[in-house]
Amino acid sequence: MTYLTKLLLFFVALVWGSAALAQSEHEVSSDTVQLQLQPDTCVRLQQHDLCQLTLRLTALPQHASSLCIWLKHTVQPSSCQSLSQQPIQELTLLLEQDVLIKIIDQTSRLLAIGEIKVVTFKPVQTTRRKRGLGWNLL
Amino acid sequence: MLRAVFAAALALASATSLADDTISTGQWQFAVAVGYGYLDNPRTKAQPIETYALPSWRYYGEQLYVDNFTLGFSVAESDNYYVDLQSKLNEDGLFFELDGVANLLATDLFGIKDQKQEINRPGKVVVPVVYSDIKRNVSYLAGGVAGWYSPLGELSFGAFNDISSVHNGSELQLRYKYTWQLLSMQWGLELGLTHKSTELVRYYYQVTDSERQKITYAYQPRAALNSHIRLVANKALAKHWSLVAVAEYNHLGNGISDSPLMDQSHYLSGFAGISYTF
Repeated sequence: MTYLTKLLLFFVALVWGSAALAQSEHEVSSDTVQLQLQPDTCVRLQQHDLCQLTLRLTALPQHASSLCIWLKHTVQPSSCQSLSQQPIQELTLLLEQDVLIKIIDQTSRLLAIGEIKVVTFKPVQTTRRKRGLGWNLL
Repeated sequence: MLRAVFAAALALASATSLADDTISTGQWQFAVAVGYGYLDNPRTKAQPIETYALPSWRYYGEQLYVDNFTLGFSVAESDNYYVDLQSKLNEDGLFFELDGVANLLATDLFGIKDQKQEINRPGKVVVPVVYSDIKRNVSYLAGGVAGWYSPLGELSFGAFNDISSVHNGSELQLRYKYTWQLLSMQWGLELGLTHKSTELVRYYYQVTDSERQKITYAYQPRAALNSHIRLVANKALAKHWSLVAVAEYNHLGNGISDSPLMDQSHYLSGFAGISYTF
């Protein structure tokens, strides 16, 4: 085997391995379905409170076996839940920050991905303090 | 002894509820007071300003607000402090423009109406300076204000620059405000210091070459520190009706009171009447 052939094979192995590694880390591929989540925003009353959200899943991708919750920019999922074969399922989530929802099959292949944002409710101010004393002659 | 006095003041401040100086957001508030208002005019040979009506208008949105001629935007606000961007009318020019409500027109305020450019024409007989004829444009300032609330009152500090290119001067303002309820009336007290820059003082209070004729003045315009104390009292009579009274004393800094255009170092103003809020 020539040096060039070895180099080529090494390169192919490198690319193939990266692709396999990407799949195992749930990289988005062309087969990945973008989840349409409703609601896609969880609202809490106070900052640092846990936000409770009931996720209703319908029309899951075929072969979906687990739903995993990933915090953004993390390598490992914070939790995974098994999915039943029911056409409609409800999952209660307790969230502290924005998360990615990933649905994977038994081989950990990524089937669908969506995002849920966590926001804090800020009430509209109904009154404000006036500036100055008013009734200026000038 | 001092501790006892301070403790008593704190106790009084916490026991006496502050008057309601809040306003509902998102709604315009218009009011007009009818009565008698008097404003001493410290300008040389100028007549005092009298008025029989005093309008007031306000709008406070979530961040934007309009409070009479002051336009503001609250960058940050909490129960304890606020930081605003603000623009407002400069008061010095108003003494040269206003003569009661009759002259309170936008065209007059911003010098759009033609004004006399010369008191005397070359070749004509020189006449004495007619101080009451000297005109100055009203200017508009913009800058920032930061305020802090406490049980002992509100303290604010503001810095403003001329944005109307009238004098290109600036003002620094320090204000203390306290509101309280007493005898079924709402009271407000304001103490203030205002530093006016040399550029501002030069424009409003220096006699120009065309105005001075042959007279030589020793006055050199310089920055001035004004102070004022203001008291407002309001007694609600019915849902829209109130009795209102205002009294204010202003002391002019030497940089202004030394000007030949001013013959008083202080001036009083006041108003008393009945107001209706729409």
